[in-house]
Amino acid sequence: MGSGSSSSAAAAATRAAELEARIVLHEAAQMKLQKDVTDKNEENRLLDVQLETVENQVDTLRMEMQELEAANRVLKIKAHRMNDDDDFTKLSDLVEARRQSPDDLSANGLTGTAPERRLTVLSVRSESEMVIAAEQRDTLEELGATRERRKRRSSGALSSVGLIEGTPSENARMSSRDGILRNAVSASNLLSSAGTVRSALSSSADARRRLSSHSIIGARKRVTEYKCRTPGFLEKTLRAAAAHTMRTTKMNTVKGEMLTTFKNGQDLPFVFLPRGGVHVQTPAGALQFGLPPETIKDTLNLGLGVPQLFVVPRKCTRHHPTRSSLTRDSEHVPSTRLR
Amino acid sequence: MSAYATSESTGERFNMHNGLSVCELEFPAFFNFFVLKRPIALVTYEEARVEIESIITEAFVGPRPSNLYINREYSKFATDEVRAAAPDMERELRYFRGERLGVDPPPKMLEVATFLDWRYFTESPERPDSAEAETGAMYEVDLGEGVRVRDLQYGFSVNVNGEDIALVSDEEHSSCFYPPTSPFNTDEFISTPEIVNFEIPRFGVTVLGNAHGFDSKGSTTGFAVWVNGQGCLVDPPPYSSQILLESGIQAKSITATILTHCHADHDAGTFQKIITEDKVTLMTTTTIFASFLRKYGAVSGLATEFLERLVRFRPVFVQEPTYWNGASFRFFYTLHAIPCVGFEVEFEGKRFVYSSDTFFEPDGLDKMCRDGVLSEARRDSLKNFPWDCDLVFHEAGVPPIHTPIVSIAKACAASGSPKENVRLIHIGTGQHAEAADHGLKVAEPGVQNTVVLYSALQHHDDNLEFLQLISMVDIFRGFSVPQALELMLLSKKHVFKRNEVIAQKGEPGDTFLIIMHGAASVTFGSFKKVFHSGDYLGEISVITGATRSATILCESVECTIVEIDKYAFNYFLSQNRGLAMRMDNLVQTRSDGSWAALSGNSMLRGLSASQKTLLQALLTRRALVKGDIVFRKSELPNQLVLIAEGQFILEEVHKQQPAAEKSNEEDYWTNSMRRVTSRYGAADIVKKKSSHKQQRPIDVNESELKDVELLKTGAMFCDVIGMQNMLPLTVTMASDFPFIIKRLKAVSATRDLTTTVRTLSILRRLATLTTPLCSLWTKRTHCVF
Repeated sequence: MGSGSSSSAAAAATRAAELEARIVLHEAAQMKLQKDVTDKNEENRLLDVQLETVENQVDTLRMEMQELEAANRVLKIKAHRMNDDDDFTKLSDLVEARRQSPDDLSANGLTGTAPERRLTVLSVRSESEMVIAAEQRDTLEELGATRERRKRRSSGALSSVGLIEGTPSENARMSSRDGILRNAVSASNLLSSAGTVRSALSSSADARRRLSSHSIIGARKRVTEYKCRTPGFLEKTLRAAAAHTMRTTKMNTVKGEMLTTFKNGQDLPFVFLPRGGVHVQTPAGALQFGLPPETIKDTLNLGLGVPQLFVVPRKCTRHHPTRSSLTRDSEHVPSTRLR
Repeated sequence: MSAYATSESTGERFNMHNGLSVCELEFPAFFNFFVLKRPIALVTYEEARVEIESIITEAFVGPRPSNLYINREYSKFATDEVRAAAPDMERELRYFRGERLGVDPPPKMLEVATFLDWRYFTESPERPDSAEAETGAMYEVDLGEGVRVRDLQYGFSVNVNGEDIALVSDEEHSSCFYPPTSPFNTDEFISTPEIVNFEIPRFGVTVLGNAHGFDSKGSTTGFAVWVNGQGCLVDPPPYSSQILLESGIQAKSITATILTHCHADHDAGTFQKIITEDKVTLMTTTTIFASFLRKYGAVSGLATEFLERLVRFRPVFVQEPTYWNGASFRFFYTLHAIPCVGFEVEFEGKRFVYSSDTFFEPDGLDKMCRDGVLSEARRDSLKNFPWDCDLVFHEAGVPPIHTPIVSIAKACAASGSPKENVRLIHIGTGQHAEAADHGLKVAEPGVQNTVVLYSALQHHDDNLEFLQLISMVDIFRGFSVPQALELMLLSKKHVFKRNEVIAQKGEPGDTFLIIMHGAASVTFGSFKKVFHSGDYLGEISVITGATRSATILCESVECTIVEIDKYAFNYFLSQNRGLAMRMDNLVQTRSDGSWAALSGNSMLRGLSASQKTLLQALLTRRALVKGDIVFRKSELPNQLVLIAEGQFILEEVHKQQPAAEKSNEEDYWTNSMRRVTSRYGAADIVKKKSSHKQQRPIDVNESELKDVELLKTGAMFCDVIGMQNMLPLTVTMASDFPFIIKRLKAVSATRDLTTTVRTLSILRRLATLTTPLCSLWTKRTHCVF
């Protein structure tokens, strides 16, 4: 019984020793593994550092590339303008010119003196046209954004986005819906609001995204969702103002003082009449452009009186097959006239 | 050639988009002349004088004697007494202009020239320095006090002592707005008409405006006469369709108009009404209709033959019944400065009379009779105004061309008819008190003030109602009588209460639904669309067997729906091959992106639901890859293209023309195109020559298209002139890669290459149907929208 128990004790001791040896082995293996892990970690860390360096390099390269791309786009726009000069781009150029110092201008090649062309705008086409204009602005704006990133400039004002954000600028809001519309929105205000749009754009990635999404959708959405009563009118006025300013203040262009003519624009007595047409007060008496039906009610209600001078709208197409010639008309009797 | 004719501006005297004249000179001229005692000064080109004078002549002097067809407006059934009472129109018109026979010295008659003063644009001695240099001259007019108006070709500038104080673009110049709005309106105008439970009465009148043209507060006179579920607008004021829609009345429930005379406060909205929706019937006399055509022909620059096609003109015979929708109208000439008709309507024993603009004062009429202006019979017929009608609308205003309120009160008393039946209309807001003093009511505008005439004979006829309904539905309109009868027998009628589900989303769509009364709504996401009487739903699912894509709810207190099950519907399709093809096409078009294309187009977006459906039924789909030609230069144009997806170029515009491709057909092109495009005139030609000496001599189309950008979703292209006159096309249109590099990255390459084009061949039909397309039809050679 004693020998039996001693043999079993010996067996247990052997077993314990065996287990101990295994534990030691395991511990050794574990330690080795731990060392490996540490090594690997160290390796990883080193790799990380390397990667970071590479990424930094990539970033730098990417930035450079973007710059190059942007410059390339400007060149493309310029080339495009040689064929089909867009007045809106010109306007952007003007605004750009106003924002930047002359040496910046020469660096970009945007001197704002693109060749003049007669303005021919088909009104109904304005939407797709605006999209293109927006795309061109978009590229211009990216150029601005890149430059800003590089120079680590602080971002510009976001507040008074007149054209793009859908809220009219302060100037536009002046003529409120119910108020008397004596507050004129002068061309200078419009131009300057375009300027704020540009600056706001170049800082607002959001607005940029919106713009680019518009471009992809195509003509579907109007880029300039300003609440102007005639789509394209504001744009047109801008064009008119830009073209006009270019003519009248050509000498000052280089200095970037573009808007001398419209400096005092805010005092002008324009009134956009509610039913349509424009009322202008001049020293020679009130002058009205356009005569929609019941127009005298508008001027009477606004306390302007009925003007004596009226500029008659142009006649549209002549010599059109479906257009009349007066001599024939006066003799014309409806064919279904008599039974 | 002056800038007057060469301008390719968008400014026009007729705003085609709204269907309104923006050269409404009458009331400014009248106000200046009669109230302010001065002539109106018109700033324009000298070439425009004849046209402008002709516009105002129609309104002020009336038609020339050779354009009066009074005698022929009495039919062969007219009795001698009726003929004896016919007006001596020529004599009457001269009387109102101041002619007094037997007075010595004869008083001076009013002429148009006496109240028009002209300021013409002349060539400026100043040379424009840059932009206009190409045109060679600048036009301006000196208004004194250092004020000059200059023509900038895209608008006008007002220049005071050398400084521009205002720039007005052509677009703003020709603008007109509804509702009247400030230019920078911050509130978005959302056109979701409120649902008013206005049930069109069997016989009644809804006034839209009760004032005259000089009244600054009220809107001008116009009203709707309801007969048997349909409306007839009398002298519709501008935007009458929108005004009615705001009250829940669909434009298509108005199927006729009456034009009483051609003064601007009566005819200004007529043209708009006749081109807004479907063709309407216009009832008036030939003299007045011809005058209307001359006037609006001169305003819009459209040929009178073309204007005539826009409307179903129904010449009326004077003093004889003219039947419309079961009612009998009797027209009569009133006494006014220009030819003017009033009318009496009788329906189911009830009578309504409208005096229209007239002078009514028994003593005055006697005097005019003594002066030889009126025959005795004419005087008596004017005196015998039917005051005994169940409802009398009489005008009130200032003699000698309008009726003083006091004589209306006297006439009522003399005839013994109750004053309660009389409503004054065409009355200034200042005169309302005077009317009340005489115990007379003013016709109040608004749907809520609709006057309904209940007839003792009234009976309700379901079948009649059903026939009227299907005549409103474009699918069934062309049905023959047996087909209509069959349809009537196959259809079932159901009545739903408010918010009750008419059809559930996901259920099998096995019935075609037409709304008979009331309104039903369909909601897609956040967008809710309301359908009204005459609209139909479920036309797609009855053909395809698809399940309902949205739930249809009853929106009005009660909504009556006519159901036709899919078996019956398909049976009708099998009977009518043309209809079946149209519906198939519609099913296809609806499912592949035509909505996006339509809503992407500034013109087509404005079409009504039924017009869109009609357009969709006409479109066919075409898929193209890069480089495919949509149409080629020198082919005959036979299609209109609406781009659904992708990007297209006009090769002659967007790509430089290689010098080698210049054809020797130049003379042909020049000749055929000059006719079409001479409005661009000398300025453009000179410019072209100077800038492109080596190229084709004059391709003015190109100049119009020159600043056309790439064509994208929603752009529509057609050559209207070419289609009409069988002239070959002058540009090639091809699909193209996107222009902007960024976009290449954004969309996958395969999608870029597949593009879709829709074609439309039945443009003509549509063009006469709707305002936007009408402007397309008449305005441009090539149109890109």
